[in-house]
Amino acid sequence: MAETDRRFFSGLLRIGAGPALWAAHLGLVYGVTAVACARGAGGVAAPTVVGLTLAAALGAGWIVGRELRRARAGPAGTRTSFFAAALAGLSLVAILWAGLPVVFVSACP
Amino acid sequence: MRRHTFTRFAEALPAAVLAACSGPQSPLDAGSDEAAGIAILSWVMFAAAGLILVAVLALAAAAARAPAEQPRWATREGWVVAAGLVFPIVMLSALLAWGLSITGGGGGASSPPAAFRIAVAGEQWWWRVTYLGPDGSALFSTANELRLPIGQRVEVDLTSADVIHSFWVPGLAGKLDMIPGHVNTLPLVAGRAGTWRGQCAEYCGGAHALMAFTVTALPAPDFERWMAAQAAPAAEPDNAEGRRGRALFLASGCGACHAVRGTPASGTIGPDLTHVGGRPTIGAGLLPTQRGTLAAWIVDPGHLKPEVRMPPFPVFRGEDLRALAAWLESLR
Amino acid sequence: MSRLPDPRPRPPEELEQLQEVWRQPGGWRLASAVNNTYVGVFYIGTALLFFVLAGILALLLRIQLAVPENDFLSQATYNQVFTMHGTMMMFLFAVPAVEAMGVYLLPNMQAARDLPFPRLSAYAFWAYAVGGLAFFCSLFFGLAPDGGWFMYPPLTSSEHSPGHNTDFWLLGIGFIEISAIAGAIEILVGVLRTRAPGMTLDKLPIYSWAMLVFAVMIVFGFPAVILGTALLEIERSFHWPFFIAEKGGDPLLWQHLFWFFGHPEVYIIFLPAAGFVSMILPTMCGTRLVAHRWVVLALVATGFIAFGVWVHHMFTTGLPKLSLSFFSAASMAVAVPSGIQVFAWIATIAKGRLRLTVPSLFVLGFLAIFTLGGLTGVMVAMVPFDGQTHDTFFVVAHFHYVLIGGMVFPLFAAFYYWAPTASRRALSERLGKWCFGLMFVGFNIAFFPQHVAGLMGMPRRVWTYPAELGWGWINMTSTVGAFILGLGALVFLIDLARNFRPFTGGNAGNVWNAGTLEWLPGGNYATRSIPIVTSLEPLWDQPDLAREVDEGRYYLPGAPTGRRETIVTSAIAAEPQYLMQMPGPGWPAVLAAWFTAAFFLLLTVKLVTPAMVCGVIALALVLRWMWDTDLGPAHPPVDIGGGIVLPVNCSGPMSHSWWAVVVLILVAGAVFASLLFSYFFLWTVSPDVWPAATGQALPGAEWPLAAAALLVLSSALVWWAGRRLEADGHWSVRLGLAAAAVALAAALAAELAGQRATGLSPTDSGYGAVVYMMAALQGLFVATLGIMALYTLARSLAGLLHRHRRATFDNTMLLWHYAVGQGLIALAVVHFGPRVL
Repeated sequence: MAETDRRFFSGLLRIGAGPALWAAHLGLVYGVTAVACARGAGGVAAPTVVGLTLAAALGAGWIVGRELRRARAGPAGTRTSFFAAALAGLSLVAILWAGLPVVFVSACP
Repeated sequence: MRRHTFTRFAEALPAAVLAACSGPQSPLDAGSDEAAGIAILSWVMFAAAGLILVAVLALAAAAARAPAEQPRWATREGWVVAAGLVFPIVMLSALLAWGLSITGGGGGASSPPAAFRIAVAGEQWWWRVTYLGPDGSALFSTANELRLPIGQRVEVDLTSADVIHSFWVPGLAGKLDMIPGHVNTLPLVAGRAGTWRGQCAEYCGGAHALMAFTVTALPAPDFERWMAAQAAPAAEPDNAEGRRGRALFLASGCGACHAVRGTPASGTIGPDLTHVGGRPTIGAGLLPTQRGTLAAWIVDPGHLKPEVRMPPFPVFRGEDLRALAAWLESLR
Repeated sequence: MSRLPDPRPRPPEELEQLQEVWRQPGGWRLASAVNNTYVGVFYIGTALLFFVLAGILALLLRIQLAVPENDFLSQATYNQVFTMHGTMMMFLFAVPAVEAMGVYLLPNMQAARDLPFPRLSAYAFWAYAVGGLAFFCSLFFGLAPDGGWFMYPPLTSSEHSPGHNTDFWLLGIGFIEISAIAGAIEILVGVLRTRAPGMTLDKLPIYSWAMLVFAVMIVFGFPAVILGTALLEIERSFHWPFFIAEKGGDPLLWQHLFWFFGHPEVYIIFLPAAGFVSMILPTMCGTRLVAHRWVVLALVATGFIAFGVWVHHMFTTGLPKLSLSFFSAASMAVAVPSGIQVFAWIATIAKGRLRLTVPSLFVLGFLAIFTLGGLTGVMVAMVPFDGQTHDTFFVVAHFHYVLIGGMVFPLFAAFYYWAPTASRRALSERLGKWCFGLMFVGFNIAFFPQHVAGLMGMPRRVWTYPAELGWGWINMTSTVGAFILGLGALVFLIDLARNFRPFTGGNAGNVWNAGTLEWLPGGNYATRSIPIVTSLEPLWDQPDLAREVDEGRYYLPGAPTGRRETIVTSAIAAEPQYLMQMPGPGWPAVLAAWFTAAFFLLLTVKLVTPAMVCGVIALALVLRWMWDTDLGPAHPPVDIGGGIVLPVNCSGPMSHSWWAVVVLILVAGAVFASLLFSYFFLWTVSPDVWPAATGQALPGAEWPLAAAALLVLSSALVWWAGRRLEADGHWSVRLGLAAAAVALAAALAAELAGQRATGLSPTDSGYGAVVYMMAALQGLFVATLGIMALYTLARSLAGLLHRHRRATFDNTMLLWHYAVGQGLIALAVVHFGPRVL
């Protein structure tokens, strides 16, 4: 693989990291709730969702921090850092929003 | 002068919109706390959306008219980020939290236990309604209408016999789908006396448009009387025409599909007709229950409601038809 | 080392040769054109035709609803017409229209001579045009689908819809979805690999960004509905109960699969339109787009988050409220990127000086309508509000604001804006203003009242309503508006007829003083020479560029190999990597599309034998077309100017075909992921049909272990054959491939034999169906790879496969390893799953 292609894929990974975390979080909280409610174990849903949300939010926050540091470190790849940080930031908001329902809504009907 | 006309129009508009958003099937014409909560959420969102829309359009207009030589506002990235990113996140966070609190308030441990349960099955294209006793057994079966005691929490178990339908009484609650293989439970609490129209909200083929029902909330004593009457078998006909109608009904095989408790007719394919005369409508909200409409329905239901499953009975004519319709109408 | 622009005179015969190589056949042979400027225009025209046809259907619907208790259309006709209106607008107009615009615009905007797979574009277009027209004609025979455009089972099951109507939808649309994926692969590789040298990602036009995200979304979104479509058709034809509740299937599985495609679909349609707006506004304002990087960010973010909102179409299905709330939150999140774009556009207007041309008017109309559509979108994302408005006319109003406002208005802006690049005359500003005025006023009169109708309780998809509900005046208003809207569209058609003159060899030129490369002068070959790009708006920053490009002073000023060719560049930095030779006009791809369409249509009406004949002919034509690809180093390296000498054609990871196969593997992976989701979903809802509850015996461990060993063996053989190809050991390659194919088929046979031995049948239950579906999907790969292996063998025997000409082998190998990986995961799930779960 050419060097330029390698850079393409590593940039893709950095940019995609935040949204991937958000997607994994959404998939997991949805899956856990669906299975817990279908199997009459609604009690486990809320604590798991809280744990997953905290973990995913920390992860997204870490990515934002790392990319901002990288952007400050030098001009090379600033654009990638900007996209990676901004997308991770937006993902962080989306993760926190997705976790918010546990405060208000009981797990299963 | 123009301004005056505009002001008058602006004053009249909300009233017109308010009037428009009412009626027997409007979610904004709330008959329960739940529907009222959603109506408030709706009006707040309409107002906020209206303000935001006007603001965005005003900004766009101002931007388009700003002369290029003047010092320009709003051309920096920071402005875009503030207006397009920060502002929406703040607004949406607040809205989301409010919406979630309404979502969470509908059920859960805090609500009182249900007074009783009703099973409603969607069938192409009518509603089979079964009132259940405390042990879950069927008390009686009716069709296309529900009656509820005011202020009591009732749980409605929604199922489907064929395709997906959706049970929706906008005046009382949001809709909930009826899906084969699933039992969805919808709590209903009518806040005041009244009658609301409901309608199937999920496209279910053929006569989906003609699949309505009514929900009536009654004071507790009236409701108890209605329950007792519904649980009783059909009354004996008290005149010759009624007796003739009943005999025709039984002799013509109507009982293969319809049940009339207290007679040998015990079919379960179509609606239970034990108290059909007391229901507000026939054909699932299609026509008022009257002798004439009943007769027209019997002769050619497909003409009134295309693709309906009941076959036409042109054999009934004249006196026979009148007698049959009269007997059904008397079943209150 | 010479520098560009090269001031030396060009040889006089160079331009003639370039024109000759790119000459288009005339007359009826125009249909054999594969060049993007031709196929693009055909494609856009056909999409417009379907827009008009589906629009006429909408007017019929509006006439029926104008007054209560109307009988203009019967119930059965109305149900077919509304289903066709939605289906055609989504699948035959919206997606093809934006894809068609991409095919037409992208190469020009990126100064490539064509997209990397011209015949694939032609195939995708013809398959769509023929299949779509036949699908539309089903209306005239009462055979049109009538289950609504989202086709929920069990209404669409064989029990409740026994006619062919539903099959027309499943096969017709399933097939058009495949054509959309072909287009998406083309666009994805095109944006990444065929750009002007120097057009790095930060100098990539924003429309290319939009199309990049668009293509990625198709790659991940469409597979879900393709799988769903396949499952439903298999259920209808062979009674595998995926969606039948009594047998452990679930109707909700369809809704998940459909909306996992269906919601991204909305953004798939909107993002290219947003790309139009971000291109048009800077030109019309004479200034650069404000917050450019934030707009790109918004496009990318939308592309991701759009995949997390599908459940908001299922808020009323009785899922746990907590689950619904997650998706309510995600639906809020997807609104944010749209906010960024709206304010970036307003800021751009403020920064420059907006000329009120027809494209500008359509853009302003879009801003107004789309903003309201977005705001109502936030409303319906609220679970309690959606409970009241879901499946009512409020939602109908909402999505028409989003789709017409968000897509049709920008598309019309784009038609008026880019017409001068295709036509000798620009479209009329006077007629255009009438068109805009009628469409904008008509649209709002038609659709704003529908919000009110919904709030008065009017459900969607009702063919009539009683007078006493008081919905009559609203519906009458709406109908009047719809006709005004239709009149606007008619004015546009008149304008087209009067002024649109494509294929004349010339165009109206850069009438708007735009800054991007599609406004360079040129002909069917795109531009005479390929410029070096140094900014986002090269024509603004390099005033002499257009003249110099047209004088051949930049890269590749002729056709040095004597064939059509374009420069392939690297994905980030757009450095020239090799020169790709491209095909000229030809029939195989076009005819293959006709026969593919015939195959699916005949299958729909259960004429199996003729269908199979057409299928075989189509396959033969595809192979014929493929035979001319993989040219190898057919020409010595070529000096393209500026001191750059490029190899001609290429194989290995740098080649465009390798990238296309990688994208195809992503598509296949998404299909497989959807199937895995189906497996676990059915386990969640129907554990009672799983072996733990039914006592169904599982195949002994020897079966999956044997199958897994055979799969690994098969992959190893292909790997070995690849090594031997490097040494030109031709007989080893042939034997290795043949043995690998046998091993791959044997692995599938072992899996099937193991399942059969337990007595499990696919018609037993949802469990049986999904287990056999895993094998069926693997079977599809076994068959495909079998054909590819035979084809590779044939090329080897014909002497067309050697170590410098091995793209055919490489592509087969990539897909092979993928199929083995998929097979191993499937075995693990099918055999471990029931033992663990």
